[in-house]
Amino acid sequence: MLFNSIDFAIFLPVVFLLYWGVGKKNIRVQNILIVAASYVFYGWWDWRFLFLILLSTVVDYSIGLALEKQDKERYRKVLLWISLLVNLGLLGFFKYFNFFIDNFSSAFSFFGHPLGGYSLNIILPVGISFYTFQTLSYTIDVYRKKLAPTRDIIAFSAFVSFFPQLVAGPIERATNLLPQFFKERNFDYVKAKDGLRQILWGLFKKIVIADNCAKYVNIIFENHEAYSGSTLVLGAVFFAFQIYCDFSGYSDIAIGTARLFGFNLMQNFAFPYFSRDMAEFWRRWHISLSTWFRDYVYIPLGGSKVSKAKVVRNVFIIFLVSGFWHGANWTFIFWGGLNALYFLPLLLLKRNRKNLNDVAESSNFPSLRTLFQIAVTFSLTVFAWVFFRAENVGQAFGYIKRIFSKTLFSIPKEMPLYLLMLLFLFIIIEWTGRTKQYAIEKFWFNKPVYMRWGFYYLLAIGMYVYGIKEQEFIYFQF
Amino acid sequence: MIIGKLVKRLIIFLLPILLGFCVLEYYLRAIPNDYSFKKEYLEENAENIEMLILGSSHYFRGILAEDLDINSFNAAYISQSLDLDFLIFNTYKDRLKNLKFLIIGISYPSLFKSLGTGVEYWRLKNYNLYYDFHITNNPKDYSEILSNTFDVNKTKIINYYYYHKNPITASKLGSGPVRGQKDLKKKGIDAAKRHTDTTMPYFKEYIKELDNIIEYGKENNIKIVLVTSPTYHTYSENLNNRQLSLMSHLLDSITKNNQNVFWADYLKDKNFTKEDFYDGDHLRLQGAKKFTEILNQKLDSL
Repeated sequence: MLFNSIDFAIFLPVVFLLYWGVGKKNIRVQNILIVAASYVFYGWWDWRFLFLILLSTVVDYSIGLALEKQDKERYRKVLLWISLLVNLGLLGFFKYFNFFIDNFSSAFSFFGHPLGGYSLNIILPVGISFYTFQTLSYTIDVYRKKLAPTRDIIAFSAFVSFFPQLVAGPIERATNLLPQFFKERNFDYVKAKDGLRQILWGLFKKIVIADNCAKYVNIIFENHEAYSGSTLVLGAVFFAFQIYCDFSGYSDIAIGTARLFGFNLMQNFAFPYFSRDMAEFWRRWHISLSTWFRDYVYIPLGGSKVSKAKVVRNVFIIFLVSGFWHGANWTFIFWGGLNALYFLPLLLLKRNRKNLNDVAESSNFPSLRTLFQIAVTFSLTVFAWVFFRAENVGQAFGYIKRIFSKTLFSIPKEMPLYLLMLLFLFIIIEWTGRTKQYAIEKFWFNKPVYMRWGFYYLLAIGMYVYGIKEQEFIYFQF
Repeated sequence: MIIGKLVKRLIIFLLPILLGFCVLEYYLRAIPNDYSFKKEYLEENAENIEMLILGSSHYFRGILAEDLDINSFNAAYISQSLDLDFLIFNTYKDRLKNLKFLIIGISYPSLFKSLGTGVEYWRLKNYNLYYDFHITNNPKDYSEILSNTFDVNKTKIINYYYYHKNPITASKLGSGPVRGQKDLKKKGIDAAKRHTDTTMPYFKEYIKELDNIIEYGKENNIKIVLVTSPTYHTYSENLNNRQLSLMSHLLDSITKNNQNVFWADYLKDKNFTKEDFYDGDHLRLQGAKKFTEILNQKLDSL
């Protein structure tokens, strides 16, 4: 079920009323309702893949309990490996099987030993990369004794399948989300109102900004040979906003929806395009995934507290794996590698924690120096996005080659003024709310209520006026 | 009680939006269109129709009901797939008391596609709203606002209520010929590619329904003419042989086994030249006139 669909507009109020009406203060009933609603939500897309979620749930629930009973480190490790193999095995099969087969096949052909076609027609289950990582965080934390395993299978199922963040995150840690299923949840009017506001903003970002950018991005990337360098730059910039608004829009809707049910999910995006360097960008972009890799891959490998050679290795590992997590395509690996190259000098020069505060914290406007830093960081990001968006590495290089041609300084062919205006207004709103959880969290709170409502009506009307047909969220495919 | 407060405020907030939605929906639905026109015609004149034409745009554009020798009505329409053709026929068959010929347009994609799963899916709402069919359960398919973009709806409203333009494109007897011509080469190749689909998800279902209609035809003395419209060579030369032979084998065997069924195949008819086509797979007005005349002769001979 898509958040931006009529189905969800009916589903959400029904589940909300049942949850607070029938469930009242009975945590168990509320958890059962969440599991049922989550399975309906997921099964709406394809019920056959519900068994994968169920399998992941049962395996990690059982392993959690077994880990608690087991004292011997050797056996505990075996249990952890079983969980890793099952979860990553599912992910590997459904997401990467054809990639490896095709690449092996190409490699053998290159050396003169062509292989037959072994590719399978595999459907990628929506959200598999998200919920497998979430359940893995549980098993790893139980293994590390950071978290006591749960005996409540319903609460655990609700944690694994919690519908607001099931298919595209934020990837929650068991230590943050799981305990919330055991706490009494009382309806909080202010929190629910805030949740609705965040949902509205998320929908606006998705429907108005991301989908309208997508319209031009698709045309420009598909026909990049026919466009001037300047148009291609604009196409890449549009894609930067498309992917940001698409994904952070989804996160906003997920976080807002969870708040309606009394849950707090982690912030997934913190205005990344106002970052002053690439290290700051990676602290603000897809936070739940970046911190997942930091905690479960980077730090166990020694992080930055090892020799320089190993630091370089570790940085490349997490960025390449993070790239590969996005999809079975060399483009994502290039994208990850490029970001590692951006990040590494900052780390080696110990400048990666320079910009920990909010940008232009005590002022309404950035200084020229800050503005320059933001512009450079944004340009580097946009450059890397070309690899992320391209169908293959060849197309990405072709796209970049054409950018740096004589036509770079011509007037772009595709220059939709309405979209540029929308982006300008969007950036202003984002800038004014850059210290908050989401841009309109406190927007016009000092103004009379009719002005605030007027603003919300504008957002709603904007969604209708600029809305294109229901578009899937990009991160569903990951 | 606090939930009540939230729900109340939400309703107050949403009320103007819902009201605006209802008003806009009302005015959009009040605009006459080809679907409501065709339904109205069938409701009022079913008893007088001697020949009913069903099919997609190939037949909506290509057969001129006015030029046929007997009382005809063209109920074909753009992207109308066989399941919808069957639905229209089954809805009105009891009232088509004088029906002598049933023309079912079967083009290269017809047996392999359904409107419900194609890119023209949004047209499905017209059958729900204006033909009163209840084909789908999706609420979007019952609303003009939800199934079209703001720009489309805005244009419809302005054209009808401000410029007083007639939104009905079909003639009095339901045909919709076009003038002009597009790039025959490019359009032909593109359409051939778009229409190729050998997965056959609807094949059996369509055959079953076709058999039912043939039986009904036998019982009621109705001749069933399966027509395949002419196409330009840029289209016909780029078709998938397997899909094409599946279609011809099926239609051949149906005509062989049923005396009241005829297949008039003009897919690669050399009588139609460049000047007759609007694009690779549609006739334009002069081509439609020629095609209708050929059909007239064919029907006379049956």
